[in-house]
Amino acid sequence: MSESYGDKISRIIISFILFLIALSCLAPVLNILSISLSGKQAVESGQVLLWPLDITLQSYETLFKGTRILSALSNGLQMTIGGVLLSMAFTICAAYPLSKSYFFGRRVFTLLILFTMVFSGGLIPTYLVVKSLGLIDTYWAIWLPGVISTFNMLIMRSYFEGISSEVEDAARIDGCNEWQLMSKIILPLSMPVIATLLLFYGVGYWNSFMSVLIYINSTDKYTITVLIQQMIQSQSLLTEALANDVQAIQLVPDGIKSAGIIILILPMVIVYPFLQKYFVQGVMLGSVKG
Amino acid sequence: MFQSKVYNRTIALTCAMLAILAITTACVGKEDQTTNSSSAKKGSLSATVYDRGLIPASEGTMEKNRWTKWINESGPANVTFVAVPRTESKQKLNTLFASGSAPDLIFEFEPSIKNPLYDQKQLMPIDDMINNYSTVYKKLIEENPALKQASIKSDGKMYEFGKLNEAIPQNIAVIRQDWLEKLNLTAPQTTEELYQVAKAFAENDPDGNGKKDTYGLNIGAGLSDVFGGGSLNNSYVDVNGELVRQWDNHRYHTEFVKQLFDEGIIDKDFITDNNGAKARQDFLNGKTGIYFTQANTSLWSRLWVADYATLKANVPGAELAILAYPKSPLGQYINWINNPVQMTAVVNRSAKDPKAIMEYIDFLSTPDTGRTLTSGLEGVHWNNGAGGCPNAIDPEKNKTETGYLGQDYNMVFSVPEGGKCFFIAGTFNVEKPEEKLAKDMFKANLDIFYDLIDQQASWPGLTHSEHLPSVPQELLVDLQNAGTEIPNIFKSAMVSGSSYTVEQAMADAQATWDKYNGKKIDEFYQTWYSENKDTILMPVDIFSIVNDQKKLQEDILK
Repeated sequence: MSESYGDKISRIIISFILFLIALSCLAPVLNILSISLSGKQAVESGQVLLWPLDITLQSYETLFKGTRILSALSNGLQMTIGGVLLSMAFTICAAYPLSKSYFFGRRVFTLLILFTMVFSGGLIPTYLVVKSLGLIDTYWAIWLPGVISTFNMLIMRSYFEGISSEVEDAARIDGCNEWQLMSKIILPLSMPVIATLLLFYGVGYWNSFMSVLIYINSTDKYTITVLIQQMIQSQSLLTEALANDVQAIQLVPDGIKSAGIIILILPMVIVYPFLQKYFVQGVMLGSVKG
Repeated sequence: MFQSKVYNRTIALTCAMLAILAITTACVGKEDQTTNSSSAKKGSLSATVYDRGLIPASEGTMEKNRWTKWINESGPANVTFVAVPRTESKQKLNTLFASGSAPDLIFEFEPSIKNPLYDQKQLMPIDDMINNYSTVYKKLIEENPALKQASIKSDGKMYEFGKLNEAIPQNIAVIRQDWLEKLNLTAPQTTEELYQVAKAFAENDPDGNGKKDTYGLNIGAGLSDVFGGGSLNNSYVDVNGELVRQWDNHRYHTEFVKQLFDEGIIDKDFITDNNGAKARQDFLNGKTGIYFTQANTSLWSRLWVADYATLKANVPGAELAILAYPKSPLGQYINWINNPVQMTAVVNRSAKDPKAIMEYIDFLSTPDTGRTLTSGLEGVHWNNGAGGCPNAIDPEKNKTETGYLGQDYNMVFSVPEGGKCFFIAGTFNVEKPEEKLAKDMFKANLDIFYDLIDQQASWPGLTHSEHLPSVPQELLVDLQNAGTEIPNIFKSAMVSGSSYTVEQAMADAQATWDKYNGKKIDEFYQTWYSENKDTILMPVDIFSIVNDQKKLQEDILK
């Protein structure tokens, strides 16, 4: 297929424009990265834009020595990995039967589950339930109340429904029972949706802030999200009209905040490329119903 | 075949990990319950402590570190600490109270968090425990009745522990002295002159680079106070016992900023710079002529030691001087002052051991405890220096071991009780030239400040806003809405040129106030004022506290 000269030009122009747009998404991240690597004075005078000035690792050093970031990071990873495993296990176990037309009460169960998308118990009642179950100050309090995201479960159900029934029939004839059918046939065929949901759940748990704040009381169990949020928000104490916290206005310098943000986004940035090839297929799921 | 093996393994692995997780978290849950068994005769209580995420990992956590250990060993009670994230304390405390698991003693600065707890009957009055068990704190409130009055709620009982603070300006304005000299100007004494000087700073190229890239001033902390204050629920003046709502302060402030904006004297983007970061950068880069900023406590050193050095590095000839607040059309106003009588702690209604709580408060109110929980231990973290005040032995070590203390464990300690070493002026090390300068500037600032008080300058508002009551629940949303919308009306007027005049904005603002039950809010404050006029901490009381501390301040600064 040959391209005309005009096509080529327009393609180059369009690529260039898209490149600029992509770059504009990268700019804030670059800015944060540069601030985290720059000298204090350059940061305070606002001279750092996309490129670090007086490069130094001072901010990272202060961050690692002066805060609990390492333990918060490991807490965040534990909570995320644990939560993702639980959520995936439960989501698969809920989605699989609901995808089968011969499942008894399928419609009723689906409606009951859908109901939770519209109505929720509210913060305090949920807290009281979690408390009476003795889960306060454990990560179970974060995992269990939202172990299945209805939306994610529906995505997975739709994907399961899309797998042709001939494959199932063949497996049954070869002697598979339901569990074998699910684990040996359906799941291996569902890698795109599994990768997608891993990412959805992973990002969800990694970013969870309010629930950690509410349910976790011991600061040694705080996750990195809570720690970094504290640092970023400390600036707002100053601008409150009263500024009543007079003595202890311990301002966190921008360089250290930025270093914290970089550490915070790092795990997700690392994981993303490995899941991306599945993710692109998976996120389209259910958008066109055949 | 191969694939199915892999899958079997994956599933097995998943199950194993889940099981491990279940076991580890269950263990963690059990650990906590075994610690509360030592020392039977001491009372026990639980208390909150702010967590700012700034404690080094090597020190432990805010609930458990060398200082909590010290408190439990040296103090009169066994204290279990519950950390409350500083920036989310409202959320956290509300959940703890709503679920009935709040600690016994709650340390919190923010009245808008504590007042609703009183309204919901979640708090225990403290009169009895003071009468029955207290020595130190009892003496403190006898000597300083203001502390008692500020803690009395509408049912006539005391509900809050508090402390006395150093009464100094919270916000100041500094001016580029070198620019004044270069342009042959004098420091502005009225807001009209403030406008003239700012205009000259913006237009006459004071930095000499041939470009019009300087700003006259920044719209920063305290500028609205120059015109009589900017807070809606504090905009009252007492006329023969009647509270009269003020609008002219808002009018003059809006007109002033609008004029500066229209003539390009200030940063056109000031509205989006909501935390002042851009304004500070401009100032540090030598682009701002008059800088309005918060400058109390640690911010004083930040301004005069760190920021001044950065400014001089960027602009070698820069010289700063303190600018007394200019006189506005409504008269001369004083800088906002730190709340000198600050309420900081409340007691949970369901607390079991009031005696332990009271003994703990007494312990915290003692100067020795105050010293340790501010600077660390004598001989370990500090020695007495030349002026008789603590000098850090090893600043690097202290950064780790005492840096996270701030004031978070002793929020009820009254600074004036501790004497001169607790005053900011006593903390400068005059052997270092930059700290000497900070001290000299501190003196210059106080001289201006005392002078303004002597001239009968007015307080920008009815009184310190922490001493105003919270409006009742049914008016709260109205006040919040009005408090968002009305300032936005003024802001639109500031930046809209001739299309939205100040007159129109004033009319809209007053209509908005009426729309949100402003009359009822006014009535609420009027009733409160009439009933409590004699006990409210008013500006005259604040000024008299300033005067009480004046002699000591001057002694230190001599």
